[in-house]
Amino acid sequence: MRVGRSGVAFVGLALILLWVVLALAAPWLPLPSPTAQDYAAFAHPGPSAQHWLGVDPLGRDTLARLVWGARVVLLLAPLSVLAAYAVGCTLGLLAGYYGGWTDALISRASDVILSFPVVVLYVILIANIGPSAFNIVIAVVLAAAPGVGRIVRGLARRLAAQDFIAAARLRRESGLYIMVVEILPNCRGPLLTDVCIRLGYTTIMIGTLGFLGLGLPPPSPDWGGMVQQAGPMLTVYPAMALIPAGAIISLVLGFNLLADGLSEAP
Amino acid sequence: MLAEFGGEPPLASLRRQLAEGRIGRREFLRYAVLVGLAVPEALAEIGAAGTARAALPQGGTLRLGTRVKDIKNPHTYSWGAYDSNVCRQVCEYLTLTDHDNVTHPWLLERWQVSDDLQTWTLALRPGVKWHNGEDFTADQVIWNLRRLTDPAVGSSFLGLVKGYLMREVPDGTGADGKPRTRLVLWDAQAIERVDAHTVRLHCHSPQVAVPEHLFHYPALMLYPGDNGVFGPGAQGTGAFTLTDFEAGKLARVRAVKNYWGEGPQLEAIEFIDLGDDVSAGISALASRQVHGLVDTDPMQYPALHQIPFLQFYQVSTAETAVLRVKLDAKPFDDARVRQAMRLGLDNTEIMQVALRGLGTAGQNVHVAPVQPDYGRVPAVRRDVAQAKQLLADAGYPTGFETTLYLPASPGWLAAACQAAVEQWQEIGLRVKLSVMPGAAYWDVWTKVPFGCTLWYHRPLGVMVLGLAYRAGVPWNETGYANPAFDRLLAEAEGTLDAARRSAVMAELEAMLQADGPMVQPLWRTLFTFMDHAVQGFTMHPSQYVFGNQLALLAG
Repeated sequence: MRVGRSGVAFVGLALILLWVVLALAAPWLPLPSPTAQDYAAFAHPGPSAQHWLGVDPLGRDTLARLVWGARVVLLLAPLSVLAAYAVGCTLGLLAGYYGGWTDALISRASDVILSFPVVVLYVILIANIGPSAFNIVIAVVLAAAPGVGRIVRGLARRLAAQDFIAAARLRRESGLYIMVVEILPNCRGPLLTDVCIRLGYTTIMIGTLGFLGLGLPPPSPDWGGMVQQAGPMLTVYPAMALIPAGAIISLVLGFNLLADGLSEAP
Repeated sequence: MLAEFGGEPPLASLRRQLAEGRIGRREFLRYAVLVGLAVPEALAEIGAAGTARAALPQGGTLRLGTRVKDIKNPHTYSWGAYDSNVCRQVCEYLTLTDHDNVTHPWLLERWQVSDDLQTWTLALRPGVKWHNGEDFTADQVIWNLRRLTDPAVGSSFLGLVKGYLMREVPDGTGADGKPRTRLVLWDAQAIERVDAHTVRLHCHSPQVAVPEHLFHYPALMLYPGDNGVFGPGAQGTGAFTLTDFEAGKLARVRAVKNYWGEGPQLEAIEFIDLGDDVSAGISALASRQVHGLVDTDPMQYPALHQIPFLQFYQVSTAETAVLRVKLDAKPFDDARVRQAMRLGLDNTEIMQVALRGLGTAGQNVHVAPVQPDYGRVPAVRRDVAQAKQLLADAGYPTGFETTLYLPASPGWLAAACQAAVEQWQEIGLRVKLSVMPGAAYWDVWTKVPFGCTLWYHRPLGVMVLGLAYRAGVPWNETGYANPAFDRLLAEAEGTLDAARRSAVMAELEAMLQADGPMVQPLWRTLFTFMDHAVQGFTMHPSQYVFGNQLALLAG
């Protein structure tokens, strides 16, 4: 187990697991509803015995929103990356294995999408199809799948020239079998690292969309939205924005450390 | 209507009501001016003398943070202060409703109203000239009024005057085979030219609020030669001329020489678009990139309140958020559902959350206690059990799911909606919020089945009711059509006696509380912050900026 051999990966995994455990335990934790508003807390919105991490600008418990928000991000980020991988791997395998016009068609289409700055692409997509959990997955797939496809294509092209693939062809295995059974498993090393990095990027992206008002619609506890809503309070109650920002940082850091550890471990 | 006063002329009636303590000094001032008494005389009658303005510094460019919206068609403005504030520096209104809700003659020198409140004689102020030197004349006023009342133009002004200046005539059949009607002036002489500087309005029914209607923000007096189009270089009678304009960025007006009125002291005013992000306004003020904000969000208050060089201004208003339904959309077509929605909310709590206490709770009547024609009605109290029972009676024992559409800006609207949604959960209403970009929302605000509409302040309650709830007018977003309501509204519009008018208004408000198409949970106290260098500023309840009154301390 590569994680066990890397301290960095272990720290990363621990950070991720912390949020996973909190997210899973959310319904049983003694927390107020993440949408319940306590306007009496406006006078002292900072941490208190009643609200351990304070309240947001609408008087909602920050800790409750972070914990429930973790469920959102920990569901959406892996789901989006998984969907992006499903599409990206398919396209990459087709382009890398078959080459020729298939490769040219897929690669040029990917180039077009990759030529957009990622944030701009997300904003254009969400602004046009509307903010919702499903649409965030769609946007991540559209934006990330070409990148995944490019990695898989490169790996597939290299592997396709190797003897074990030639042997599979000689055995008259189908193209589908060769791509899925022979090539894909041999791509897993680089892809595993890329998955972790992409989970981090996607977490940031979900936060960015929330910050830009294109995340989940209110009153969903959205970490990026929490930072954005607390923006006007930054000079008077900085913790309101810094705490959800810290949550995003900790999860992204977790994914990145895990990726680093996985790539460094022998 | 004269009979209501026992033959007593309106001014005498007002004096008697003031003496009997039935109306306050402010209300006397407002209505005495309305029926033709000059402001100084009215002030003298209530023992208040006008104070001379202190000498103000000259020069400087005032920079104000706001939204800069398209301003091309002033007669169809719908953004309130955002679009009209630029144009009002250049073009002006016949009247002016000040920050105290008192309406004065402006481009008019005076008005006179017949005792039956059906004939309004408008005398233009002598000496007013367009920037090109031409006289401001009765023909130009008539051109503007006819344009404002032309349904093809699409001005919301039509909603205000429909009840006394317009009538419906057959207009063939529509695509659905049903007969159509269109609005026309009720009489060819409804807007009469008396002489070169006098116009007379002949109303088919009494109307007390004509001067207020003439200050409705699209009712700007435009130069006919500009064909209703406004932009840099357009003619006006105001203290400034528009020199630069780019929607979404900047509008710049420069002072003109020989303005007919007081001022201007400033050399120029720049309206700078700060977008919808409320943090931008805080940063712009804190870094002194702007001298003040036209509009502020309650979320900005804690931060702005701590900046030492800013002056706080506030005013109670009739600005509100209305969570309204389309009456032809299920399940909102059932009055029990609408009543349950009202009973499911604690309006005070919604106001506290959305406005951080900077306002007052609404009573679901869309007439504010600050409006002089408000009629007292009982406050609505939250009653979850009764709300659930009403929903069950209407066939929704477990509630229902629906979507509430709202604009992304201003932020306090979303806050109010979130507070309402949270409370509605308890009676079984599962409401999803669909937050739309402002521009997209205001394209469909009259069409969505369940939406949140920002209604700006109007000086009189009858104006709001006429705009939003009279059958068939352009801004009747709910499709509310109640002949009894329209009849009572016309009666209120033609009643000067304060007690009687309040009684009629209370009846109208009770109708809205009983079967109205909306929940109206709060009233805003508008506030803003200006740099101490800004002189002469007073917070107007409609956020209007009167640039000719402002000045800037040097340094």
